[in-house]
Amino acid sequence: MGKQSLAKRVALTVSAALVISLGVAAGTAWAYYTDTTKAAGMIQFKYNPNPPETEVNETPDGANKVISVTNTGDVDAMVRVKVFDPQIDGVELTFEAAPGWTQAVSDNDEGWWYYTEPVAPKASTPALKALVTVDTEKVAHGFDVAVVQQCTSARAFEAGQPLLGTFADGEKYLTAQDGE
Amino acid sequence: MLKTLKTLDLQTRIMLIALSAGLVVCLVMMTVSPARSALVFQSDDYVAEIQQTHIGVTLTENGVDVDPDAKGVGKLLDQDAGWQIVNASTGAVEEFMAPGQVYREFLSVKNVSADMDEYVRLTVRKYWAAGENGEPQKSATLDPALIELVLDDEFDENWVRSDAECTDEREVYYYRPVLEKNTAAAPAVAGIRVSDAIKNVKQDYSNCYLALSAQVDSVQVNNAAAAAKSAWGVDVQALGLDQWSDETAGE
Repeated sequence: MGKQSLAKRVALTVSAALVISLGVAAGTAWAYYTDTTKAAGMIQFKYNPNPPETEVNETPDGANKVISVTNTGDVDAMVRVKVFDPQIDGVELTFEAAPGWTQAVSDNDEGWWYYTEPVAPKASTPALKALVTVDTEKVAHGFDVAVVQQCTSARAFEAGQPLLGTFADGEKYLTAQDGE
Repeated sequence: MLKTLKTLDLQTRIMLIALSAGLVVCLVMMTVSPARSALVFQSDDYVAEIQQTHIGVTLTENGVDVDPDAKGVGKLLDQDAGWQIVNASTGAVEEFMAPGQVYREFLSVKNVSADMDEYVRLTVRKYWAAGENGEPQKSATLDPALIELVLDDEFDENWVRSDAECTDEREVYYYRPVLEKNTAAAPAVAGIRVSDAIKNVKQDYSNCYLALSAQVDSVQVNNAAAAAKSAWGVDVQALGLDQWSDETAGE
């Protein structure tokens, strides 16, 4: 027992001496010449984008109307169009809408047509065709098919999300996934 | 002692011998290293002069040195000191920056050492700040990618952009050649622009601050690659800065 204890102590002492000498023999640390300097600052930034501006284009095609909306401003815009039915017996109004136009929008009792993508500055929407069918036996006088358009900022729009934007009568959401 | 050792079992004896041998080797190595640095010759007729060399670097903004304040940080975009928002295309001074326009802001580096050439790098951070009471704080919601640094026309001749270190907020540029003492480098940045994309983002930028912070670092010319690795953790050869690894650079 005493011999083992002595052997243990000797072994521990030599091990400790070995570890310490390894540390001392590790080598020299190097330092390099370096320098650094910093600077910082800020300036005030004020940016308020102009409100979106659009105008409607109406091209007669016989009794029909080809309607599109052009962005004349410098920010993206969400647009909607309403075509007023003349409400005359013998005049029937139907629509042929290019992809992207839809009436499947929340709270749309007034029958607005919404374009489901932002319209970039200087760009135009594809055509929304108002097809007017006239029964000439019933209709002997002229009539007008009025078109109005409205736009709003596209800032709130996010692709894949149902919110189109906030128009004059509130937020409008798509009510169908495919936008039709 | 010997008697005790003889009575130990074989395994214990082998272990003790191995430990002792290792200790002896280490001791020998320790005595050899210091012995190499011992003076071999000494003469009373010669006097050695030891001079400590100094390395120094500073940032320049539009050709003017940016002097640090009492806290060691210089001022950029300092309108109180005469900095103006100058449209780079028209030369006109404007009150606020408008999206899509480039405004003059030349950022570069100068070696202010009297006796030492160096290699340098420039780090520029750009971000938005917001807040009242004259103390705007960095904003975590406004997009720093909308602030664009316009590089100088001759950037590629003199600088390397480290793509791996660059982010939406940070740009890092390395100056290719040796920057000699008392010499300014060619500009890295020539202007600032706020991206046109800001017109269609959701966040409100109607009242915020455009902020820049820059840091210049320099290392010695000798063993520059090792110095850059040690001080900055950067492998300059991977950036194509072969001259930094050239031992004859600066001679």
